[in-house]
Amino acid sequence: MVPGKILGGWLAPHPPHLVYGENPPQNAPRSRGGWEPLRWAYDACRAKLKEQKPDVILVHSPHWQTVVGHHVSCVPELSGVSVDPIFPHLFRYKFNMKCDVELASAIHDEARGLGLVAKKMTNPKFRVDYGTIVSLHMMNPDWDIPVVAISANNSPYFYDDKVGQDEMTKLGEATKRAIEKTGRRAVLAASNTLSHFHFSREPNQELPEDMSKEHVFSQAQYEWDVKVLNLMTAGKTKELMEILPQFMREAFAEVKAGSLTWMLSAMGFPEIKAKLHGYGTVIGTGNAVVEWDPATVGGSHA
Amino acid sequence: MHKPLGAIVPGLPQVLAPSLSAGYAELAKATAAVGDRLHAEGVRRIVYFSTQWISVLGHSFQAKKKLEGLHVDENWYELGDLPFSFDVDVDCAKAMAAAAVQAGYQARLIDYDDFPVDTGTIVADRLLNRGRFTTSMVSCCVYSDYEDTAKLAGLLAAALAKDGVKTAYVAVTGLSGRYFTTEIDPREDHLSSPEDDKWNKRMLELLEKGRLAEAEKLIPEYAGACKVDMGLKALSFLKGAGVAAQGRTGTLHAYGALYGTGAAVLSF
Repeated sequence: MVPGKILGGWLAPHPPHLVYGENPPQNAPRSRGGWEPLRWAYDACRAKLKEQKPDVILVHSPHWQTVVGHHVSCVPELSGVSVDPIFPHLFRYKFNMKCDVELASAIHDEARGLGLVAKKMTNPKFRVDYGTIVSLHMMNPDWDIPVVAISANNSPYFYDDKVGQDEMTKLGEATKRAIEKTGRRAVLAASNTLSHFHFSREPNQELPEDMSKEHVFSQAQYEWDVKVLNLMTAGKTKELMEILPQFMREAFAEVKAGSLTWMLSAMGFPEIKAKLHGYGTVIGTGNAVVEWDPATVGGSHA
Repeated sequence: MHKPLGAIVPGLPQVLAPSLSAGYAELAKATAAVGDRLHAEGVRRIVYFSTQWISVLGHSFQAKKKLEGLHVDENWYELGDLPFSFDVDVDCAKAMAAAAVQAGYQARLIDYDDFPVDTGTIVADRLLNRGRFTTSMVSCCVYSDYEDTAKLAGLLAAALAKDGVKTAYVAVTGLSGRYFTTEIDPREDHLSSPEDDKWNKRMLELLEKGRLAEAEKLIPEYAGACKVDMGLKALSFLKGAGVAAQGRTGTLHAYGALYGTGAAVLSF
């Protein structure tokens, strides 16, 4: 068997507003659009996946938070209607996903081999979290590529950032080994927002997609996002990882959940220039669609 | 006017698996006994405030009359599926939302098929209700602090007092929140930290003795020391609703561990 490899990694934020703004047939609520810069940014991802034709997409989501170890989806198929408990008026999505059970099992085994607590999720009636679904829909609305869903163990919140990020680094290593051993051509998705302070009231309850009400939560938060994105696009991954804890503290960054660390770890913390496809805010949070392509040394702003 | 009845009950799915542990069985039995007491006292409606139903943009109020479905817990999915069927008092939800809006809160009525009711509310209702009460549910808004939540609960209780339906307020919450982070044998479940155990007992004793003010003063320290579930904000809901009050003694029916965290059944 040819060893598997990681074709690319994406920072793939998951606000349900993006699906809502697109009006895909899977989602029941209808909108007049909204959050276009981020949705257009995802077009680049969709095109790239069509071109690459990966065997599998792996997504690590903060909204499948687990307290006992790292869980992976180990059932062949998951389907149902995912209603976001926070934004049910925006996201009621009919999904059907095929899971790559062999790869998921391999990740589980490799994670255990590295000393992590890991668990196979084998309940076919499991309700997939909206973070996983939004990221996957925005990357591949055809759902014609198998997936592996990985939970966000809550160690960064339960213990501290260091323990949490160490766990995610190991999980990334386990993921890489599993991909290589199973021969998969894989794409990774870190389902994370950047800065994560947000409005505490919906700005326009009658028209959630009222873009005249959308803006950064604060200048400080915006400047943090720009700083982090500049490091990504400059390929300064080591520096990025060094300031990540401060970013988490000061901008309440959702990367604290570990998805970005997991992904970059699996990719060997590559000092390659990431490509920024778009940045935008959703109820004040900072979101960016960013690509790490190991096949290129270029990058920066698309 | 009589103060409304209410309780603190646990909301982790282990409570619905009494065969796994004597401690789980005790918590389940105690919760069911509280339900019996509420029924015997003439309660016809339960308003749930579960720390597992989170909202961030204001408060949400469940307003789907026949709320049915099947839930699988995201952590303990191996414990089994959780089918649910709630007879929701829609007028109650509307009255509460209207009262909240009138006071300047942002409120949302939730009326959707397939809405993911949280594990805590399902667990509590399964044991308390058994087809005897209509229900209502208020979300736990993460940006509403202790005082703000108490204020809101007071507004909601005042609004509900008008329709004459005897209502109990139930807070579904854990106490200390220090989970075991590895797999355990449920038969050996216990408080993960002796300090947490001491703190939980201290707080419960104060509530049993009706010393709410003292308990409230200790909450910041308790929350910081024991990773308390949502900083014990559920107590503020009971306080605002008039259930927990200075001088009103509570009855502790059961106390124990759920995967290392603290859990209690305490009624007022």
